[in-house]
Amino acid sequence: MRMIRYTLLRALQMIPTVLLVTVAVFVLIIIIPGDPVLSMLGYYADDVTAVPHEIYDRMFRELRLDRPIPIQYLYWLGDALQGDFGKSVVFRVPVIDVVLSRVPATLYLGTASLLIAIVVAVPFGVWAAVKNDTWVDHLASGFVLFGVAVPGFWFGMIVILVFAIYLGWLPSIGYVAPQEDFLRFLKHLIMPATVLGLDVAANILRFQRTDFLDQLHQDYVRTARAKGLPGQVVIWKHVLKNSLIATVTVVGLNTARLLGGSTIIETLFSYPGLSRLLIEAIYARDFPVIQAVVLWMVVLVVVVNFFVDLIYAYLNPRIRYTTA
Amino acid sequence: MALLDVHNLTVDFNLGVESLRAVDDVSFTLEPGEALGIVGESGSGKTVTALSIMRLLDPAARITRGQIWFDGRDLATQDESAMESIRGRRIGMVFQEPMTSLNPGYTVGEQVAEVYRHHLRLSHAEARRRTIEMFERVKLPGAREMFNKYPHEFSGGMRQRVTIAAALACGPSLLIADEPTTAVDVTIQAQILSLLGELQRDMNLALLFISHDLAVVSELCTRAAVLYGARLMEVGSTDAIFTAPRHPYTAGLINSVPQRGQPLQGVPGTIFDLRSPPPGCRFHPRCVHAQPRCNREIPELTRSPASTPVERGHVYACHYPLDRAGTRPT
Amino acid sequence: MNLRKRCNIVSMFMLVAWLAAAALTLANPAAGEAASKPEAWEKRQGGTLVIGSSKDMNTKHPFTRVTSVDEFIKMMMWEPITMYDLAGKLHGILAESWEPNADASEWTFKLRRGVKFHNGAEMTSADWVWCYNYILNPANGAYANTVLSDNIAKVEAVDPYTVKFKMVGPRALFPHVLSSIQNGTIVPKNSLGGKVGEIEGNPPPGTGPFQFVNWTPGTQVEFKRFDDYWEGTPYLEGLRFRIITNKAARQNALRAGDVNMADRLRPSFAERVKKGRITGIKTRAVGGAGFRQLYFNTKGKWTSDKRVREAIILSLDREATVEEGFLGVGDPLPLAVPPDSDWLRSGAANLPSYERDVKRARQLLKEAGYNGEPLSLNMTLGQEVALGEAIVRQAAEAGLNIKMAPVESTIFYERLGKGDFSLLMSSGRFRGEPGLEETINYVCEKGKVRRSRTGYCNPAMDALISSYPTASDRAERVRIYGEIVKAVFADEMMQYGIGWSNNRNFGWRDNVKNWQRGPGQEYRNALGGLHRTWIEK
Ligand SMILES: Nc1ncnc2c1ncn2[C@@H]1O[C@H](COP(=O)(O)OP(=O)(O)O)[C@@H](O)[C@H]1O
Ligand code: SF4
Ligand SMILES: [Mg+2]
Repeated sequence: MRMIRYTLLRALQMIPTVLLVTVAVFVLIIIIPGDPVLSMLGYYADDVTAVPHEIYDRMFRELRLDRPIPIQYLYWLGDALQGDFGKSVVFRVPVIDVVLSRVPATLYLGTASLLIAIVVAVPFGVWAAVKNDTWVDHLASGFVLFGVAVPGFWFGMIVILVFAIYLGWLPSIGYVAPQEDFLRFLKHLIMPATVLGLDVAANILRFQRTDFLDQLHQDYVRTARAKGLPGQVVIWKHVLKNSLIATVTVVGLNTARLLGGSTIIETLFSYPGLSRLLIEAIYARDFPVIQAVVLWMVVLVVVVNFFVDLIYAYLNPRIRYTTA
Repeated sequence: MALLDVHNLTVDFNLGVESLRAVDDVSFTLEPGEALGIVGESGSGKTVTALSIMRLLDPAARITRGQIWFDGRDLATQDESAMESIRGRRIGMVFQEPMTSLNPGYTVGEQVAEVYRHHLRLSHAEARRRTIEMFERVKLPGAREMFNKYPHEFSGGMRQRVTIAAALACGPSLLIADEPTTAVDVTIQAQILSLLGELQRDMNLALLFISHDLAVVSELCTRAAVLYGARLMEVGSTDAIFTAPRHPYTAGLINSVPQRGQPLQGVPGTIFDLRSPPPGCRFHPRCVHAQPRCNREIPELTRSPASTPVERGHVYACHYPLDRAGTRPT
Repeated sequence: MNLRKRCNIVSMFMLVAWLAAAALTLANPAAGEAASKPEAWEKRQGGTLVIGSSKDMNTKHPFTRVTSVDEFIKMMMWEPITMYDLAGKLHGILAESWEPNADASEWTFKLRRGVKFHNGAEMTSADWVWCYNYILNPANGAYANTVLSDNIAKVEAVDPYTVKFKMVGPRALFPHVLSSIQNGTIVPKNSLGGKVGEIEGNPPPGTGPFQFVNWTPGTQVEFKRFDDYWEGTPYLEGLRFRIITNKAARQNALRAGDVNMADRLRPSFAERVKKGRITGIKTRAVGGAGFRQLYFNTKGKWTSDKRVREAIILSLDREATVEEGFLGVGDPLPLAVPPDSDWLRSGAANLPSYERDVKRARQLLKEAGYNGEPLSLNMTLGQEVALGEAIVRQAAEAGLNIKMAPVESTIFYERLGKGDFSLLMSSGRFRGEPGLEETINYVCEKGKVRRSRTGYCNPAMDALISSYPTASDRAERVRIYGEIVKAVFADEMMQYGIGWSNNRNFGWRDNVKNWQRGPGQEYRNALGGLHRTWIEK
């Protein structure tokens, strides 16, 4: 009951956040240099005198640039709420189509790498903490060091060199939709997801191990053992739940990052994800695409935070009561 | 036969470059239904002794000598799975810090119910029913509503009742209570103590009650053991120890108990560093009665000539024990 | 100029020409065979060629502004009226021939017969007239509107296969203007709506060897073979341009066989292929991938002083700059024209020697009162930073304080538009008529032509540069080019040529047969292209 109230309350809190973000995204576009009319017409900024006036003015009005900025914002928001983010300046197709063409790929890569990260990091972190100062723990520390010190780009290059070029097992670039060919989907996904996943895993593992070690020395662990609960129950039931609060924080931070796409990995594997789209849109001054992608990413962060908070509340009952 | 027979228990901590002996050659027995208090200053080895019995020692600690006979088995040599079936089932334990000794992530009910499910293989519903029953026994007001509450919603005293409920859930024959009232205020302390006394009688519990407070021990226990610097100084009935302590350290402890009309005396000086214990009698640097012999020879536990029933089983480790009036060495 | 270097460039261009000739003799019989000997075609046909492309197609519209790779991809489906070959000769593609009147104020084009659109209809003069009128109507926002309305007054169909253009004046270079698809490829009449630059659904059909299948912006463009292509059915069943923006990723994809061909590879990659460390792949440096030159802002704080401009020029050592800036794979040359061409001879005759003279540079700066004040070097992020650094360092030896400002292209052009720079590093290409290239830099004539980039404004210069496209005799244009060079480089010292960068390499896997590149990186040129290429099974 309290959990439901808490959930609703948190959900309501998201609305002003997202609205504020839309304002920020809109203003951001205004301060980025570049003339949207010129880009729309395919001219460079030094071409301004070459553009026929009637055409420039017509576009100017069509883009509602003649209106006051707050009005422009309201128009934009109204359209955006209906899924209309305008047309891509570069591609001249609806922004929503461009963005939606990238969303599944990003979600698959993000989810897969997150799963890999969690599956690797959480048990490994627990194991390393339980076997503190043994070879397992040293291996974990080595892994963390490797993950933190070695750039993803470099690691990705090595993986491509071995699996795509020398062994020829996996494709080095691209993406195939799962509904098209599931096996090929997996083949395209596995390398970028692993490279990204292990990078995030190192990140999670570092926190997981430290926090778990800390939890292991808490009094409640001794109480649980004094009740005769077997070591495995103590670790996986009692310690894990508390240690997950820290883990969820790190995972939450990384989830938002992963679901927004990873520029380096997407670039290296030529993977059609959102963050590459964003970078290219910024270079091309494709304002409507920038707006839509940034909005998507921020909304994602807000939504992920929402879920992180719900999980927090589940893991740490104190939160439920103080907030609700 | 005694329920618990701790014999020459010695526990060493390996702290990397150095090591220390936290429990040194400690022996005592506990009969079924009997309450024994262990008294000593902080750092004297009380908790380590208790954790040795539970075999919950820190990985750095090892039982290097001695036996812990319980129910005809030497707990010092049992493997982990054997201990798991003893802990919570045959021996319950309550810890000092009620605020942190419960898991903040689970309801208090669950933390008791899981003991029933684990040891007695009860169903969820049955475990729940028994938990509520147990809550009533430890006098948690509104036991049924309490089940789904979380530890942070409870006061220290109520939490301590929950940990007592968990420790006693499966009807153990021995309860170890390690300073259960140190962290709560005085009125709550009195309630908890009377609860423990009541439960001990009703459930025919043997109670190993650890405290740094001799007065509290004398209230609850029939016998007391005094620890100083990892070694036993004196063991005897609380009456004998209170009225006629033979060991100068015990006498000092008694004097430190505030008494009406008398200035608080305490034991002058501070405890030594366990990493480098003094030779001979450990207490000699602080002992007002110390003689040259005291820093050469370690006094063995000696039995007092039992002239009265109160003095039966009264032992002390002192070269120059106090007389029965408790004032001057003979 | 260093003789050895010069021989290198000449041999490079000769090699290119030789390869083209060799490819021609190889390719043409093959094309002939396709028609007469279907078995040979059957043996080679099939397969999808996957190309790792550094950039994407920009729009689905034939008349928006094209950018390099975008244009090359679009040229798979849309063809220009004319096209240059490797030797710089103009060939007819959608036109069979063309004829000017006496003063080139009127051009008559004979259409190639039997050219089919992808929709099956035949291309006729009606389609031409409609397309040019579409561009000429400013409301349609076609990018070529500026250029074409400066050329064409009226376009009319004489008969189904003849089109007559009435020019606004003598326009000797009109067929040259039509060598780019953005200036008038032909799509079926009425196939474009009135929305500026926008297309709903598929792009309009073209006449090219491949037809559009689909496009996922930023990811890939797919084409399939056009069986009724006028030059014969291509061998390849499909073409897929995979957009791989990262060089390392393109190289990996080529090595892994995920693509059959890739553009813009690193010189180091080509080097490893040459040394046999990477096998199964062939690469070729794309000669003349880009010419780098410096322009001065003639309205700039210090650069408005000719002495300062001269001092900067005298502070630079072209050979050393190229060696350092292009990491050993460039060719120093003062003008953006092919070495050993009549263009170079005509231009170079009017150039000073430009021997490095730091002492004289210091002297000039002193006279100008310059004392180490900062001068900005505006350049895009895509330019070689090493080149900028070489320039900054050499100029510093003469006491010049040049600050390199590599910025993202929108900002670059914005600064250009506002004249917010001292020096400008720019890339150029050789497009056959070098005299046309300087218009945007120096002509400030009011009206349709834009304000000059360098801020320079001089009616005499306007007249000189504007006379270039009116000269119908090539020798005359070569002469005018020499005069433009003299005025711009020698008299006013507003420009300084550095050299050709050869750091772009094309690569393809061994099973790709009969691949010939064009003058640059295009997939199509007057005499060859992907429609003559096949994949060996
Ligand atoms: N985890 C530990 N690591 C190192 N030394 C310890 C540890 N636990 C206890 N000790 C040592 O054992 C001694 C006895 O501790 P303890 O039994 O907790 O005392 P107390 O009588 O206050 O319960 C301490 O003085 C300390 O030196
Ligand atoms: S043995 Fe000596 S030093 Fe120790 S308590 Fe007795 S009198 Fe004091
Ligand atoms: Mg203690």
